Amino acid sequence: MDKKLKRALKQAFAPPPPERKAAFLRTHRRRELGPAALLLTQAGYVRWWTWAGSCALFAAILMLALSSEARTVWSSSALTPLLALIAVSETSRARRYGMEELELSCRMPRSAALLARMAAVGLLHLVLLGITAPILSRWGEVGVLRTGVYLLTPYLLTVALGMELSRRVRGQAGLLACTAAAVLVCVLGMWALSVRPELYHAERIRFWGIALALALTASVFEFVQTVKETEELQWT
Amino acid sequence: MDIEEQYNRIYRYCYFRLRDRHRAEDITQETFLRWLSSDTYRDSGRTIQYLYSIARNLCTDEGRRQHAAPLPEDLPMASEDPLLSLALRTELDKLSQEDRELVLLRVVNEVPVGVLCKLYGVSRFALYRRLRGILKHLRERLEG
Repeated sequence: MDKKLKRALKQAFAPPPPERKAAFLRTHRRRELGPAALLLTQAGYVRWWTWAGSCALFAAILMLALSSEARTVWSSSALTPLLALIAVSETSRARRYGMEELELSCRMPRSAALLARMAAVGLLHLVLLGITAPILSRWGEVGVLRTGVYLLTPYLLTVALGMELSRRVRGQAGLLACTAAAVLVCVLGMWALSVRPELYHAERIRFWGIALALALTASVFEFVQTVKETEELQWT
Repeated sequence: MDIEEQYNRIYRYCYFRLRDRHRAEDITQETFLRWLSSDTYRDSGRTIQYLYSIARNLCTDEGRRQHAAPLPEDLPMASEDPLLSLALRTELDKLSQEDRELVLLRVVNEVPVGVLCKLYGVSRFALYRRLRGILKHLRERLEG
């Protein structure tokens, strides 16, 4: 648009200054819920066993790494899909129990609540994986970055698959499908470890990098789709 | 959302609908009081649409009770080009109330197009076409 006309219109629509604005805004303030407060509130609605299960699985990954010799990172990498399964089952809970409409009637918009809960569980998992990677790297011979790639790739792949399946398959069958996907990724990891151990050689890290990028893209896509679907359900 | 900024915008909208400073401020405050007392739309990301819907309905009710007066003479005038501002006000006065409101909301108050579409119940295409037509008309009148 013509900048001159726009400026002139802004000037033409200049009202006399309001007289009671300051006094009104001083007495009527609305308490907005900030992102941190929203995250904390919604973290309270995450089931206790999601936190406990994540920590128990983290302990199991470390125990497995301690007990197996020279296969530490690979065997731990095969267990991370179960961590992803916990995250997906938590975020698709309302859909599974058919409680989406109830969530829609709550004070908080459903997309914001879902985002906050995903962020809470995702942050915990990120912290756990962030702790696991340097520990495994110290115990084994693989660097921290490579360890991170081996741990994150199956995790993100399961997240993407799980979210896709939970969007498509409703009810308890959705959880079963997610579990099947997580187990499949687990088994694939184990299979690769025993049949194709060369996949974990340092020179193959480029392929892992590509796989990680693809899994990350798929996860972000699924994440956006899931949030979009909650928006579509809003009352009109 | 910057509540002070929105207060100014809603007040501007109400002022140019009612053309009375005190009534406009009353309606602005009533709009915000209704918004503050409503839990349904809290943090729902539709605040602007909600605020304008309330203000619009209240202005319509107020307009039914008491018709809008002509714009007062002592309105603040642009310091840069007072003649252009005066000519523009005259031309804006000739527009229909809805067209004037649309220009104010989109160009001056910078209300997102999506919000305006929902407010008026029209498509983005229709809204753009209508707005382009109004601005073209204004430009022609000012140049002619």
